Amino acid sequence: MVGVSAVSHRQDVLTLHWLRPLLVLFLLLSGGCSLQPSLIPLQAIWSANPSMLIRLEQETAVGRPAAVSSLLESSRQQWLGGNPDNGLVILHRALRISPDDPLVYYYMAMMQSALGEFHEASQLARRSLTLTDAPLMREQVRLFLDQLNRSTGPDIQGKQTRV
Amino acid sequence: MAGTKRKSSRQPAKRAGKSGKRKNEPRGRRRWLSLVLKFGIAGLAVLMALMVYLDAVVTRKFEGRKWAIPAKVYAQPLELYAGLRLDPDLFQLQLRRQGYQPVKQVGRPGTFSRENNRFHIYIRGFRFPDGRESSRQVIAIFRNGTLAALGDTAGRDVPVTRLDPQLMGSISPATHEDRILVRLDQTPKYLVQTLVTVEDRDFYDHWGLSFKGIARAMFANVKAGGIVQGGSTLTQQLVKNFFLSNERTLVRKAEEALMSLLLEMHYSKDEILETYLNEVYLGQQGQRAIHGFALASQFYFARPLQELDLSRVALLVAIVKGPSWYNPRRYPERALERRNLVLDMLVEHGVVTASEANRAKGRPLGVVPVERLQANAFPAYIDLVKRQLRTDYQDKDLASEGLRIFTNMNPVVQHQAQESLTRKLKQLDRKGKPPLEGAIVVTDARTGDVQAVVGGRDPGFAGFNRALDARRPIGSLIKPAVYLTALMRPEQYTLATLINDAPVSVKLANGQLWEPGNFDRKTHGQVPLYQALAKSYNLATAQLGMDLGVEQVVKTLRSMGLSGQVNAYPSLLLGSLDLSPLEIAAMYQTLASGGYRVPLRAINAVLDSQGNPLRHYSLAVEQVFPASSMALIRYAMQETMRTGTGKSAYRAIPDSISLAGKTGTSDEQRDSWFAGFSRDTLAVAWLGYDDNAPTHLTGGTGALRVWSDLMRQRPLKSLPKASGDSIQWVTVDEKTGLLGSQSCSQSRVLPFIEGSAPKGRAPCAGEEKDSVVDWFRALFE
Repeated sequence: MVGVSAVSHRQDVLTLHWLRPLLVLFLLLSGGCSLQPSLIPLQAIWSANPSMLIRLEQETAVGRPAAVSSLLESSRQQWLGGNPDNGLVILHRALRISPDDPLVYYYMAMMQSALGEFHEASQLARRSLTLTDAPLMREQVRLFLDQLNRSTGPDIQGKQTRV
Repeated sequence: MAGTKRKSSRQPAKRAGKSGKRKNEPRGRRRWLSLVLKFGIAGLAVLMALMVYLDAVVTRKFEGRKWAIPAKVYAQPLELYAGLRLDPDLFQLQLRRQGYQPVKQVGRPGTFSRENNRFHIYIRGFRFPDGRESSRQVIAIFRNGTLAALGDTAGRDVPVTRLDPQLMGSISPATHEDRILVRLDQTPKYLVQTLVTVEDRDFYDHWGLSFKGIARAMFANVKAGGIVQGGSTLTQQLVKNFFLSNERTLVRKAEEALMSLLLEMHYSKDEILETYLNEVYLGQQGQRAIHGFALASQFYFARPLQELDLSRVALLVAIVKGPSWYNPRRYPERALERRNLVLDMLVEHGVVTASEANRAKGRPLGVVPVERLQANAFPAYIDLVKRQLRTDYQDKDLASEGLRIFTNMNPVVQHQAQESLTRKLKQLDRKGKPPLEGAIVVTDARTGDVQAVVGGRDPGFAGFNRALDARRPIGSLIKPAVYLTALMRPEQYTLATLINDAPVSVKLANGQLWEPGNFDRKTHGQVPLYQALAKSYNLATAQLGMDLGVEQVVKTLRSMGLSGQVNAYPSLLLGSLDLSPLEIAAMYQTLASGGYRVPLRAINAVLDSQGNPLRHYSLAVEQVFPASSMALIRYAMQETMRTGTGKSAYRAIPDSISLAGKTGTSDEQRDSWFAGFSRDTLAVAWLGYDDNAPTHLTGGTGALRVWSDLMRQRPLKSLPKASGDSIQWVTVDEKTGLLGSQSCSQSRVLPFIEGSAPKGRAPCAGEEKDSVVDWFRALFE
């Protein structure tokens, strides 16, 4: 967060912002909780192979209804089986159940990309990014967007709204 | 003279004697025979030609596409999964709407049993856009308005399954003939036997004509002293309906006989029977002609043909004789008598036992009232579907190719919207005035799926579709666009920026002055920006809009999804813009989905008549506004609901649900609008008169009541608090718009885009040092 002004009451508070992580850590530890960082190093390259997709499904599974997990799996199988159209239809079912699930949008983006709909793919991936804080997921979506931009040129970027 | 002549002429003949007569006789007979032969050959040639012609007619029509099959339109299937928020009574209602029969023992598809909140459902098999799903049995247990557990009969968890979708209606050809095709092997037990026994007992033995049948009919008719039985075979009936007119002449009868023979020569009994089952006329609903047993089953019993029991099969076969005379809705006694006669015939010919027939006779007709028919009960939604389809298909293809269209209509929401509008309009009607009209559009707030469209107070009436076609001045519904334009400039405007709600006078290009006023005819002085929107102050909005520039506001409207011609006049800032409820929904969708423009989608997928996918209408999103600006405008619209013109919504909706919305009222209160959303549901309601007369309603006293009544029935999700990397919450003094503190009488914590919070400190805030409370508060904000 950027400091605002020396005269701001708020600003006075903000000058101590560097203490926040320490305090949060202290509170969590003292509360008996523990944070276990992901033991698996983040991938440096974008991947749509089944093992990566399954890993993404697992790492983002907290709070996801079993129905959506099941539909994500079905859509992945359809897509990897060469039928992204059917995969998209199944993802729409998932979206009706969980319209805020970032992985659903990310899968949609990849399937749209497989169908040659690069602009739609890019927008869906960006929406996915706004919905997730999961490091692996964010990294994969960013890498996907990079790859999309590299392979399709500036057209995709050109259509995007600067945000 | 004449007599003389005759005499004289005869004489020579006599005189010619016997030898002359012998010579002439063979010549005359030969000539006559030759003539007969020539005529015979010519007649035979004509008959052959006629046969060839009729043969071509028969085979061409029979082997080509037999009927123009209207496109069938389906609602969104109800997804079942643990966690689904659905009242069990509503679930049961939906099962009944889809023709599921409550039974004690579930044993066949299309039935269910309920014990308290435990349902055992035998879901029908269905071909969905993503593939076929077989029929299956599931156990669904509800707790506290939620589907708590879903499993199979062996006790295994079922993560997700879905009901077959509800048939909403069809897009019929100009002939208004409607039918659902059925294969012979899909017909229920007894249908074919009953039909053959009653209509044509020698069907499997004759060649299209049955002399035995004609004799039997004549005997029966003579005995009865009138026509009680027809002599036509099923083949003849089919020929008459399928190829010929209703003309009753000998020539047509001869044609019918010849064509029946030809049909029997070319095609098997099963092929003829299957065509008959699909062709036969069995009823009428307005202009819509009900053809074939499969559609008749839906029309009379609201369930698939395959699920009919003996009594219902007997009734359908009974109706064949005269769909008007034996109409079971209009003449139930007559239809019952005929049905029982059919059952007696089945016993007489050994098709069923007497006890089976008696059991069937003991059952009521089982015909559902026409009001319960779901087919074509949603004309406003189907209208929208047709319009969206027209960009991809021609009208004639829609009406003839047997397409299967899967829509996003949520039948539960659609019914709730219809009921809310009808109920509230009745309450709002004024004595001595014509009935008030209205319209509603409901969408999924994040995906743009159109869940419901109501086009008027009589939702089943396929007339003027106000949801799509009533373009009316939108009044203050435009204001979020004005304030969003401002909030897109965080260096200039924040929610705390003071806007002057004071008289505005703008000189127009034509020299006239534009001098708007507030609804309460007062001015409110300097008010924070968020409050100007929440309270819907016209003067503050006009002031702000003029500062921003009307063109800039138009640009925002375009980004929100407005299409069509817009005149950038100052009065636009207060809603002198005519739009339909659907267009409003399209624009507010962008606000509801967090700055992503999401085209409204009524259609999900289209399949051809064979079930092959033709097109899938996929979700498309386009980010048009930054998330941070959206968070601010949504805050202001939430304040509209908490403290502003929309606050009466919370009389119906729990205040734990955070909602955002805006009222709209046009000049002289001719139009009452409300548009608003929760995290998951967006709805737009409009009320007004078709003749544009004043309603005496504001957005808050009219449309908002309809909107609230609908939303209170939905399991709403609350809007999240504004958050994100670029949002910070800061205490401000509302009087000055500067940084405040709890010591200020009008302090408020507002969200700001990072770096845009006021820098100056209000006098009331003093030079207070860090308080521990504030420090902790900031820590978690």
